[in-house]
Amino acid sequence: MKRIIYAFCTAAVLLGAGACSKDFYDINENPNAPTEQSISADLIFPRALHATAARMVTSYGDYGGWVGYWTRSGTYGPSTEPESYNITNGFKAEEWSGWYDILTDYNTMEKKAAATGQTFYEGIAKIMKVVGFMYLVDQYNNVPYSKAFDLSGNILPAYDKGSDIYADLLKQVDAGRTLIAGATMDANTNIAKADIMFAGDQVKWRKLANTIHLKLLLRLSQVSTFNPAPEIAKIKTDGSGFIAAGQSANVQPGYAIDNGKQNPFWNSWKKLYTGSEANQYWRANNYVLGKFRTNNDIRYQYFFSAAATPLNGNTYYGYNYGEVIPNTDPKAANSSDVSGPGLARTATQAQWFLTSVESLFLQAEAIQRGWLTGDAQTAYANAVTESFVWLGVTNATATATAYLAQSLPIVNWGAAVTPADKINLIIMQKYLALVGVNNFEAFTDYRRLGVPTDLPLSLAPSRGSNKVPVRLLYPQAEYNYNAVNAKAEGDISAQTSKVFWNK
Amino acid sequence: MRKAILAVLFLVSATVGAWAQKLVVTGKVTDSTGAAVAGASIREKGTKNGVSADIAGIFSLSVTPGATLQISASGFSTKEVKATEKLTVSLKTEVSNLSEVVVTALGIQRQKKDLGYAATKVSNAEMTRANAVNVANGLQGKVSGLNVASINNGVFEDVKINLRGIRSLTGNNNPMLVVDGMPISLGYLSSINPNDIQDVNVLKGTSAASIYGPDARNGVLVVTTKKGVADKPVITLSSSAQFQKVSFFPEFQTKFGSGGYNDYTPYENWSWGPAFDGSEVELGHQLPDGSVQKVPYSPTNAREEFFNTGTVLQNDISFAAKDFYLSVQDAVIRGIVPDDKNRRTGVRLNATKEYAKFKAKFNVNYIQQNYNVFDDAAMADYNAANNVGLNQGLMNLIFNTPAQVPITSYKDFINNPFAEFNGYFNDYGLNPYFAIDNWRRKGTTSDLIASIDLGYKVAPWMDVTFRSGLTQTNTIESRTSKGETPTSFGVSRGFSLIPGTVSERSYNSRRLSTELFASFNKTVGDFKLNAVLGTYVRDSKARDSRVGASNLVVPELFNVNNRTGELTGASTGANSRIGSVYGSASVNYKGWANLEFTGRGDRTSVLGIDNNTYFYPGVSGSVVLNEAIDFIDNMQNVSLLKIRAAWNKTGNADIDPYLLAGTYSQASGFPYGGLAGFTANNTSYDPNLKPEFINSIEVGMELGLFRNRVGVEVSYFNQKNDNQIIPISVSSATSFTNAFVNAASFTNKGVEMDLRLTPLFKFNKGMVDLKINAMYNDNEITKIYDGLDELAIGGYASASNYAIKGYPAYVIKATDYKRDDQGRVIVNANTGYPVVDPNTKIFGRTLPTWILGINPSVTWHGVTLSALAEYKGGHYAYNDIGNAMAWTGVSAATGNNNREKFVFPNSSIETSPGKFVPNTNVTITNVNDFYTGVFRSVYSNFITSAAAWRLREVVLSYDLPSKWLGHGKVVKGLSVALTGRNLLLFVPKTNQFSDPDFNFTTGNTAGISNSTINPPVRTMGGNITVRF
Repeated sequence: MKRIIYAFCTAAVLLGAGACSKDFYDINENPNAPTEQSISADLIFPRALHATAARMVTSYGDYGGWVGYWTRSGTYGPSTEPESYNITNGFKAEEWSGWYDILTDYNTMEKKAAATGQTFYEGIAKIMKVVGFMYLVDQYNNVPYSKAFDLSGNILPAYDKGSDIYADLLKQVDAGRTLIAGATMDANTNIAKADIMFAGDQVKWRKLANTIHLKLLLRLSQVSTFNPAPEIAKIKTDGSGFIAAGQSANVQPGYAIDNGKQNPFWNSWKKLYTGSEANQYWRANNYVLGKFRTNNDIRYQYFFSAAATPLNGNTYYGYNYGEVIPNTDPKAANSSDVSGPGLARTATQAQWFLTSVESLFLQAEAIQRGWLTGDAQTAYANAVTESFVWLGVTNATATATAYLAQSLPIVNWGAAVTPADKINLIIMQKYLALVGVNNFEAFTDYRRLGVPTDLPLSLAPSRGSNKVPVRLLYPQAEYNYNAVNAKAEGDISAQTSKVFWNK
Repeated sequence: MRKAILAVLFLVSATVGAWAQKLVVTGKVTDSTGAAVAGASIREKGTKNGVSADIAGIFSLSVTPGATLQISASGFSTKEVKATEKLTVSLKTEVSNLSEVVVTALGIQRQKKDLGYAATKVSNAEMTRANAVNVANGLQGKVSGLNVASINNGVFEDVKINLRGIRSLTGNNNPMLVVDGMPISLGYLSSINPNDIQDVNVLKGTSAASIYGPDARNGVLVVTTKKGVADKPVITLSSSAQFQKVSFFPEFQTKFGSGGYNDYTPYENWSWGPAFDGSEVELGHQLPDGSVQKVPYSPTNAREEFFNTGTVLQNDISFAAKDFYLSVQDAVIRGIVPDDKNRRTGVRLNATKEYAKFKAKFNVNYIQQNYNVFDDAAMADYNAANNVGLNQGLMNLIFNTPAQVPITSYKDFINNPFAEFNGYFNDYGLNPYFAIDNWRRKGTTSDLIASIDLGYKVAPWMDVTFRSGLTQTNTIESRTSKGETPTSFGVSRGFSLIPGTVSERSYNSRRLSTELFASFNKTVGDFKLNAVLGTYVRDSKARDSRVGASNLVVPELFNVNNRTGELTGASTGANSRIGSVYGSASVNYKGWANLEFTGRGDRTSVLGIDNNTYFYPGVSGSVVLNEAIDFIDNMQNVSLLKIRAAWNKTGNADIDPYLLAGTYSQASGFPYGGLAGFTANNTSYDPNLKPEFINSIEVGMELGLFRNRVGVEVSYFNQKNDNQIIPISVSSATSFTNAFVNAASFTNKGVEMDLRLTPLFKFNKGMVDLKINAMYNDNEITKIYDGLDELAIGGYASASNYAIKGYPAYVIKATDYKRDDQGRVIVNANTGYPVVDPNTKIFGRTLPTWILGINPSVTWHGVTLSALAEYKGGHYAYNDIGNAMAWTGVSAATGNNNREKFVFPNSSIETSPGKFVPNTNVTITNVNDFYTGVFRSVYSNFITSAAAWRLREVVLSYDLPSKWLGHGKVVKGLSVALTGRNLLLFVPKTNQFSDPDFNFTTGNTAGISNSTINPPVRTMGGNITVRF
């Protein structure tokens, strides 16, 4: 009762007296969350970097299915949409919103940093925006770029041509690298802590920028009019080189065995924080499993796990993509999961963002193409060896050397005769090195170069004459909320409307 | 000085009068059938001496011998009788609109005939006759223009209430709730004891907003609680028991059992196995001890038998004396879902004290609800985390179970090895009894509603009132998961661990308001002037704090300290204020013409300083033609002919605080120790948001015929809603997915009709009444935003509510089969399968265009039989349970044609681009694949007409004659009643799923039901009320 009386008195006195003053109504400042006014680059950066790395390893299961890495386990019924290659606007719609969401944070980081002279942050933001837009263009071709991130000016953002975006990305990566090179630590508050990849190491960032730069250039390898020389020159001018063996770019915010805090790869494909198996859907694909097992390649035991409950002595058991699996066939527990001991070591391991393995393969291809100087065969052998080392294969170097020494066409440098054969060999070995590590890259290389050349198509009865999709369709949300621009792109076919670099 | 002397003289004369010889009259006031007329006023003619009858119609009054008594009551014609010691006065029902008094803004009582807008009064008796636990349910079907939809059947009786359709596309469409003059949140409607309520006045239009402020734009429910009237105290005891049984299950196929592609699988949740043959089959896996469950392969009714009989027990006691009312209510609701329970206990005290010109009133109501229910959402989270689809709600676990499975035998999931977590037959779903036990939501909500009213009569023509109100809600809730670790056998079946978790929530909100207003009444010649001038200030504060542990260590110790990992949690606060100045002035000429002007200015804290003040005016008028024009007055049989009209503008900014700037939050596991990481949230805000406005006109006619035995009331309303504050969806490329802007416009119009036949006819000592009300409601969206013609309101991506320019709000848009130019479904020439057209199509509106209530009643001696039927129609609903049941092959549709191959009806085949020929012979390759595939992706397959007829209430009540009770010496009245609610539900044949009113939210999205919603029930019971 006392409380009520008190409340009434308060109401009568406070409200009565205060109601007339203007300040009485000036109470709308948010007490619960920071606003754009109060946020700063160092508070955005760590989460954005983590989210980028997490997206790269957790979002591309379906591409792993398409390229023959992974496939559906016997525990699940068919997933008709991806397995028939007959994708709709709903398929992977979160790619669009997810990347723009991350890019929004980098964009704010860039603006905030530029306004305060934090050129290190600004440069990093530019480079990470390049990565994000590369992923968008590689999946959708034309997307909003120059008109993006401007709600008040462009509530219906127009689409830019994929090729135009790539042209600008090349400029941006260079600009970002230059900004980083000229930055001072003092001006960039908290960078050593907020940079959960390189702890503010400028040289490492420049190496990463160069590697991303090279990756962009290689995407354009099949574009007939493309001349890489001026861009290669810029990389050389920087002089920091590329990510080298043992220098993988990894993200480590402090992963822990806790709800929502585990390493993203582990958390999605290995185990939940509770200790339960995280995923019973994706299992080893017989195609890639065969490539390892028939060619004396132990790496399958590092990419995939032994079955928890093997049946008939099948310790490593996989399925075929798109097949109708009879009820009597082995289930998830009887087959090999996709988080083998070479990939998922602990729940708290750092998350790879760009591996040394991929960097070495990128360099090998560039050398073989004559874009970079060096011996292509050595670069190739180094890249393959790095894969064994990176996976933690027992006696990695020796095992790799033995593997490379085989006369099998899948690995033997000499067996590849023409320059095109050698490119195919490098890309095939890159394919074998990135199982689950970078499904996206394998999907991109398959579209760019058609490697693996003998990839079987889906066994789904409803596939018809479809082939592996060449892109995603714009999400339904774009047709609903940005209709005029989405429709201006015309009819899009996931079978034929190729990304500009896919010739 | 002169006034003071007069007052003294009056006191003296009153005292002197008391010494004179007196006659004590005791008596009873009844209606023509002999039923008590509660609260009738008994007055000694020519004096101020008077009293009110109690609930039993009994009164006692000391008068001068030989005096004449005037007995009057609302709804009856006044009668004069000579005072004698014992009296029984029978009043004639007048049922006249002329004398009806309604409570309007600020609790001011107005003659209904003076009003320029529509208002309807629902008395306590009408509301509580079928023992509705919730006030809103008690109003269902009784007021034209009022749409009360029960959106689920559970122990909370969630309802969604709209008056005259909607005025906001994405915002608040809830009517305002005013209890004893104090505006409070609509949510309290489910807390208030219906038996405490004297009447509910429903102010339908936006007219009341000029006095009550922006919340009143959606109409107002003015609730007046009881106050004691008689000198002699009355104690009322009442007790009711009601029983609930599921009245409508989705239609099942009962020919086929578990398995796939015609093969029997003992551990499948699919019912795509072979046809039932009665043979003995194994069910589930062989357990590690070698035991195997065996059941007959034939359908059971176990899915229906899973549900309990729900019970609702209500006990009330109230004590009423002059200006004093005290009541206690206890309502215990046990749901049809095992273990669901809610208990509501409330106390109310209403007290008034008058002293000369001063009047003080204090009302306080404290309600506590203790609930313990299954936590659907937590189970859904667990399933989502484990990639188990189609297991959103409990109904999925029950309805999707193959028909041969004896679900009800799995109650004992601790000792029965076939019911136990690891041993349950289903590889893809949990034992529902286990799930119910594992995930619980328990809590206590305490509501305190209190108000103080101080009135002072400054002059005979001026009253000043100060009113201060407090509402406070405290919710303490814990959500728990006991957790389960699978054995190695369970792991081999693919079962994952269910963590033991606890999440505690403390929600506290309080709203304080103060109001000061003066009212003026003055008669000048033939003119009666009326004015109100007032000011209102409100401060609302809330804090919602949650803390949780996602991995408990010691089993079933639900404390956040008992955990590994970090504490989870959040705490958000909100504070907003609004202040207003308002006024109204009305002039009434000779009692038959009335004109009223209103205006209100608001200032709100939720808008920017430059936009936070806004003003809105209104005007309304009425003419009682039969009094104004002799010609009509002379017409026989016309007892009332009134026309009225109102125009007003209403402003509002009904948004949460802090919606003027975008925010950032930590996500993806951040903070990691000392490392923070923020990300921009997905909604953009406009710092220059402006208030939105509604322009509303209303015209109406009220007609009384044959001495008001026939009453007709018709209203037409048209509301233009502009500059709506809405969150529009935008391309993610803008940085956001939603933007709060001033954008959409739409019109909302309709007609309300009330027909009252009282009595329809009379017979020997009895009569039959009939009341019918109806509303036709339509609306059209005229604008969304530049370059944007549609706005998603809510639902599933493939079946959702939309607001689309040129269409009514809302329409349901869903996926359909791909069709040729003649509307035939295009099928593949080889496989016979149709495909999904990814372009969603409009399948109709989700809000009813027609609502009709029919309420006949028969009275004979003390017996009353009354019924209430309600129809809603013109709208459509999407039933997601149909989709889930197609996947598992349990729905009736999947049993069509005995699962033989068939040619898709009205289909065609594309022979060359754009050329189609009818398909006469290509059959669907595989029925199993068809229903689990494309049939399910075509969401229009689960859209049905939402039209329904309901028998809402049937009540048979009997008031025992007072002679049986010893003429009221101890027991003054006793009545018994048999009640039924929602006895019958008639829906179109295509609706094989559920009550079409059921919906997953009380928000604006309509007609979207899912598997967390229980099946509808019918309620039957009885009550007994005794008055002492």
